[in-house]
Amino acid sequence: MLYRDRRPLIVFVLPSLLLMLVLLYYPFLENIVNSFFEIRTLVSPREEFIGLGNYRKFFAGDAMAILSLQNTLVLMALTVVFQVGIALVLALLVSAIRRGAQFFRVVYFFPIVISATAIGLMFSLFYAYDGGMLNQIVTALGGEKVLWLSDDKAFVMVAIPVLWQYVGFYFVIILTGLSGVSEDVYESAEIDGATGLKKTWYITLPLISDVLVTCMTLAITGAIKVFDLPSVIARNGAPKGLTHFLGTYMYQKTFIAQDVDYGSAISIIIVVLGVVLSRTVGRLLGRDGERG
Amino acid sequence: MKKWFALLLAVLMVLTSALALADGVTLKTVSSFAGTDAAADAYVQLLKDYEAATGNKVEDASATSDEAWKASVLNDFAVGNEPDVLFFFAANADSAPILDKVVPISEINEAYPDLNLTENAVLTEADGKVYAIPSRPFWEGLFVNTDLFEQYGLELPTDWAKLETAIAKFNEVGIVPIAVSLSDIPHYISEFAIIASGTPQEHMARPKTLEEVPQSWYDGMDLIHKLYEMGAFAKDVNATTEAVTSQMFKDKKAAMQIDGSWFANGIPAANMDTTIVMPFPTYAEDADKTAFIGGVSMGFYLTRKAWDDPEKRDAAVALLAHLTSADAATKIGGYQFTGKLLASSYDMINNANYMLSPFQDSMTKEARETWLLGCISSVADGSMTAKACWEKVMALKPFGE
Repeated sequence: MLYRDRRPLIVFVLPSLLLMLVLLYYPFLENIVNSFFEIRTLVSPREEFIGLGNYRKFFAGDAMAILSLQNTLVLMALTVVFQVGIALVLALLVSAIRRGAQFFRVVYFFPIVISATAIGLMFSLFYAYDGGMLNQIVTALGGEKVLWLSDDKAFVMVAIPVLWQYVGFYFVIILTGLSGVSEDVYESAEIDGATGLKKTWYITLPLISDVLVTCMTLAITGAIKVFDLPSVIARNGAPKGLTHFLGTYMYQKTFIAQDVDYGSAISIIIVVLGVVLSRTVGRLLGRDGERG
Repeated sequence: MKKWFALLLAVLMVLTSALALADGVTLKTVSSFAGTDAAADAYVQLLKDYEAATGNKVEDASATSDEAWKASVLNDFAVGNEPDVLFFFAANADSAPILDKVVPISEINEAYPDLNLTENAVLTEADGKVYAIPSRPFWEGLFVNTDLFEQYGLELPTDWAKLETAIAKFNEVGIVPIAVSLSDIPHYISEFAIIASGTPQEHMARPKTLEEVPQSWYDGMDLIHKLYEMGAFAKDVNATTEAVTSQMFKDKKAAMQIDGSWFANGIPAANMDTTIVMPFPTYAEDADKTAFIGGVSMGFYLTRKAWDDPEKRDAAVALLAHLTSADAATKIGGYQFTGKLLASSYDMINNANYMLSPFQDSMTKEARETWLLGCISSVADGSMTAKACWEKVMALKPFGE
């Protein structure tokens, strides 16, 4: 009876909708408009209309912007392979053990509950050249101190904690997906002669493909938005902007350079890229899943 | 029961409103007297004194001064959420965007002639008006841990040759010669490298085109590269942070650091007689050996929003007068360091032929970010030339058309 007349439900939906409109969609639309105008400082109003000038500058005139885009795309690929990949392997292993599964759930999920700033600080202490944990180990073993955030190593060093932090998140999601696969299916497969890896490949993975697609979509959108960890570990894209991602570069351009219109354009690029890539991945893997 | 509860709430609301009205107005303030700033406590006490004397309330949102703080203050102005009284940068690129939302001191003095607020010409803006009242001068120079120089039998770096000798020796014994993070705060060394490479007049230039950029500005960038090649900086100079390098200096793991009077306030009390400040040694022959950077860069403002509010105007003006009184100036404008450090700062100031303003404060934000964060690290390690650096910066018209 309650759901026959759905009009009262609007009362419950409306507040959150209004909040979304005011705090998310309205600023987003303003941001789109801002990206087409010259805005000189954080306080300045929109001045001259410059059309697609900021977008042209991003793709054709700003080497650092292209580098931050490349870094983001590489991180995205690494995220799918390592975050989701390692989480899948761990989830398969933990789901196969009879005792201690709960322990591993907690252990792998733990980094998620630590703030990214704290993890960033922890890793910057690991990487510190003077007195850093890694160099203390290296020197204790008789080696020479290593510059962990050098030009050629910095990207990998920043990517490692970013990848590490969210493995547990996808691990828990995949493990939950695995728990939904009926034991009957495995028993039938065993009767048909399927064992070990064959069971995983032909039964488990197809049956949790929806969960994997969701994980990959989340991983890709998460990689595009990455900001907090890199900005703590490598301030201002250190060294020399080589560890800038779209999020950190957008922050630097908007709040330090106060190139507000350009920062707006970068944020629009982040959103468009996120939507396009996550939809593409979803569709590609979704179709594969249907064929399977 | 519900009716009684509702009635109770209504009575409480009326009482609260009445109390709020009886307590006077509430003023919002913002300053950089917070965090590790040695004047933070004195500033809070000044606000409490004002509250006690007037019955008004002050909601203060002070925070440590950095780029994020500046951005948040400007953001508040942009969305109409500016405070009533604030302590902020003046007479430079940071203050330009807020001038139409703050009140010139002359206008306040005209309406309140008894106050006779200071109109310090040093803080005159481009439109010829003064909007801020200064409370604390600043200076920048080369901080030196003299005990490390004594320990290794080195002369203080009063000229370039002695600086090079010290760098070589400190490298040998595993002490970082100059503590700096080029990826975080390259601001001070960049200015001093240019002062060391040419005349004060060249440092005072505000070139509009690439052709007008003085040769010493190129030479200064090359000097940073030279220092890098000599091993004057820590190995991770392009990746560490200013917090780390400053701590190294305070812990005597680094021998020198270029910084300002705010840094002196944070030197440990035990080091007051083993740390001094002096002018950075010059490299070019025509450079002035006594020149240092200093002046007044911040002041107290009254916002137009408070001025136009008849209920707040008197209270806000009174707070401005209170915070800029002679008594307040000694409490929040004074230095907290002592000993040889204090004496050396007087020597540096008193013996100087030139006190120069940092030219980066006159640059547009975009050009300054490009110069400091987009160039210095790369010029230092040789992956960008000084010429390419200034071409990139000057394309952004740092000092206007």
